[in-house]
Amino acid sequence: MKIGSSRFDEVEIDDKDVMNFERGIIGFPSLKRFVLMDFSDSSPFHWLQSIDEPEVGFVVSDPGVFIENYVVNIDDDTKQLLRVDKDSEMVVMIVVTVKDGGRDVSGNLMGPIIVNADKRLGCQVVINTPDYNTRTPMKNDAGIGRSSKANIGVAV
Amino acid sequence: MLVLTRKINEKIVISADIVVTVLTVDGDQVRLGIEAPSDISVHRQEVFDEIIRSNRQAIQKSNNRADILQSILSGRSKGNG
Repeated sequence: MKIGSSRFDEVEIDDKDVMNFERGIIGFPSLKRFVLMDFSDSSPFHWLQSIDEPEVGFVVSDPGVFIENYVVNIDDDTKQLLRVDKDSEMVVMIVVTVKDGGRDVSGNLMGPIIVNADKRLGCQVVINTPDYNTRTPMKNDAGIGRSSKANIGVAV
Repeated sequence: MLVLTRKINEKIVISADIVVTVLTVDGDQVRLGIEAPSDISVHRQEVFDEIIRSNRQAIQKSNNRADILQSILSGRSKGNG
């Protein structure tokens, strides 16, 4: 299928790359199908492209951009939803908010996205702990080098 | 909405395996104990509201995708400089 998600042309999406978020995103229950795209091989940021509404998507990242040792307890309900057999199947991603032209970048550690990449299933979960909030700034040593413009190429 | 009146230490049973107990009442604060199977998630409404608010701020237009990443990287380099 083709979706017009790029500024210049349409992006060809392979059906087998589509991930199903049965419950949608919290507050966006109609966004149930996504494709995870890499910005580049080395970037900790990824683009979660909606299939149901091709004009929108979310920036997501590895938790390490915001915090070291991000520990989340995934409940049995979520594991059943994602058909997880082994915990190692789950990948945790943080939803990123970019404001003020990139000067204000924060991560929502209270509502991470969990995907089972092999089975192409995902969901957003609620983490019940006072340790995490929805507005955690990027770490200073987030590993995004100053001269990383060479890595900006959008790999789809 | 079903409305029930309960006294302290009285319980409500939902669907046979979820039990809500009124533990203490102090002015306008009520402490509830909730026993539920591990596959039932229980959260404060405010937590959901906060995540919905955050998601609304995080949603982006797809055609800005490349610019957004560039802004993260350039905003960052300004921050470091």
